[in-house]
Amino acid sequence: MASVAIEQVRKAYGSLEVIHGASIEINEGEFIVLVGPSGCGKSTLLRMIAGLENISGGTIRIGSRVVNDVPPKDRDIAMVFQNYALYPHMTVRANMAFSLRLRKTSQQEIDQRVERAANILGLQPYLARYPRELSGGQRQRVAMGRAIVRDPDVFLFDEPLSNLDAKLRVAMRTELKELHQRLKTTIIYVTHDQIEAMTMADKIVVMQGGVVEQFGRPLDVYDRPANLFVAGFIGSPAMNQIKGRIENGLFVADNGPSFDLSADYAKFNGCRVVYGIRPEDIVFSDQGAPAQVVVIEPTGSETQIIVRTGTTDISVVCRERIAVRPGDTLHLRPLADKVHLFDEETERRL
Amino acid sequence: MAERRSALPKILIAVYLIPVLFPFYWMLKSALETPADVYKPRLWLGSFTLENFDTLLRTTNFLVTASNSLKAALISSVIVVVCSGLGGYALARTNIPRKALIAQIVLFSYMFPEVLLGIPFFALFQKLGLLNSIWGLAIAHVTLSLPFGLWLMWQFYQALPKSYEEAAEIDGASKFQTFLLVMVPLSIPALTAVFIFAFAASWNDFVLGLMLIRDDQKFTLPIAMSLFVQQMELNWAVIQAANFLLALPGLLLVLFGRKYLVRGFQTSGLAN
Ligand SMILES: Nc1ncnc2c1ncn2[C@@H]1O[C@H](COP(=O)(O)OP(=O)(O)OP(=O)(O)O)[C@@H](O)[C@H]1O
Ligand SMILES: [Mg+2]
Repeated sequence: MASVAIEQVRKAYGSLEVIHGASIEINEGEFIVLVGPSGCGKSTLLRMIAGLENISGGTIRIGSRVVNDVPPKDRDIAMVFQNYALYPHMTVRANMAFSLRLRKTSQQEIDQRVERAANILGLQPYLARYPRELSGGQRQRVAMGRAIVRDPDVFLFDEPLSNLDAKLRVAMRTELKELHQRLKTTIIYVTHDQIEAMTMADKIVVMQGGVVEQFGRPLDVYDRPANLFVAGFIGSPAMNQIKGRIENGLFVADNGPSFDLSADYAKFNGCRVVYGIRPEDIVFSDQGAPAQVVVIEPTGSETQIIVRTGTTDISVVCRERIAVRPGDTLHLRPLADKVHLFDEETERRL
Repeated sequence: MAERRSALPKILIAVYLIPVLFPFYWMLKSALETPADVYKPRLWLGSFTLENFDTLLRTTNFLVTASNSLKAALISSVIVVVCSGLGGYALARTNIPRKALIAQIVLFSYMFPEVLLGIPFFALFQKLGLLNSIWGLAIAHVTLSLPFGLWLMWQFYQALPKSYEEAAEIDGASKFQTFLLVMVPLSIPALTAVFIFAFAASWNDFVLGLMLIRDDQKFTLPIAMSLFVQQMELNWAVIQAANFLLALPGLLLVLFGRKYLVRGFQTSGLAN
């Protein structure tokens, strides 16, 4: 178990800079998820922590030690790759024992540790098999087993679940979280799936274009997104974003309705803003703004309704089943205390 | 429709195999017949005898030359396999400046006919005292297949995902351990192919052997064979027996090597 400090870290490939000064402070035993769209630099940052990429600027500290120039094997980290990279010519047991062998661990201890990891992951029946004789989910477990036997200071995961089918992915999500609670090792986990990030993380790091956009607890990030990008990226279905300005304590959309604002925002009178409201924070009420139903998407547990007011489409999620059809008129009332306002210019939260 | 589509290639292959396999059949047939029967125009075996092999082994230095050939082939193919493996890996994974150019130059040497390669070898080996030596010949034979082997291994390692090496690096392996314990086992199919190719190139070489070996106790099989034809006074049954033994190692190598060649396990440790 160790803390990890990333300070103003940069990465450039030749003249192309892909990480522009990322800073993240990770406490001992935390489960951190790096999340962001494809190409934002998550893997690159993770690989710099692992020591597989050199660091163009800034410092990375594991525990109290600066590891910028420490080779991967001396960093006391274990990594699970997106493609698992199990050694195909070794059995499951040999795969898991490989790192211990290289460290000249005694045979007795190797056996003990492999047994223990196999028990935790339910790999006992497969120890004598080769990777090619395993299913995708079992390979994934072996990859984790290979990391666990090391008992490292930090676990690094690069999209370990992305090759599994949806159901298995959800199951492994729970299992991983449980594993973390059991081992209490610091975990840095990369994914582009914001649901994975929300459900597993103690803290999430939202990245875009090589920049850390926000770092915080999942629900804090969800409730108070720091900018428009985070607001749109975290949450599914995505937050509604409507352009307009503030007039007399009301939000007036450029092409349609106006909505109430809480009194705190009065001081921004006349400002151009982007108005954000999550689909589940809109209720139907007779005093609300009228809107036409365009599409209804029931999922069983809830229903997503896309409505149109003026030329603006707004999505609404409601838990109860309502009997509406496309073309019907509904009256929307966003909950004023759940509104997010962003400066149109800087895209930052007001 | 599916039936017909799968039948056509089989028919084509069967037709193709007739001219390919017939000489082999004829060789084996003649080797197993009495010398008198060989000249009778018959498609099937007229008589069965092992006397031709007996004659061959008793009256010629076949065994000596065969062991010379085997020695040269083994030495040169081991050198080729080791150099191709190490060199191909270096080309694929290090940042040697102008490595593509280096690889092209190596491949370029492949374009020269053997006779042209033989002349400088002759001059060089004369100075080094390697003329008339199986070791010298084996070294010369390396040039026949190293370019191809190096190129094949280079391509092979390029196509192999880097994550195996990265996993090994994180597991604590040194560069050399990574190569020896992870990359070499992964490349056994490709290395087997290189070995078979190098072995066959050396085993079948005539030109370099003719130029670099003088002593008839050090001749390799192809050269000795050309002499048998006169020595045996055109006894085709015995010559065919020699032919069969000459072709045997190649057959065995492909037969047993095939298992490794098609064992496509190089990607089976990955997610999909
Ligand atoms: N070797 C390289 N040379 C040049 N640019 C690179 C190299 N590797 C990555 N990049 C660039 O760095 C950026 C970040 O890549 P990275 O692999 O970290 O993205 P990612 O966030 O992990 O994306 P994904 O979710 O698709 O895996 C990308 O724009 C990519 O094009
Ligand atoms: Mg990635």
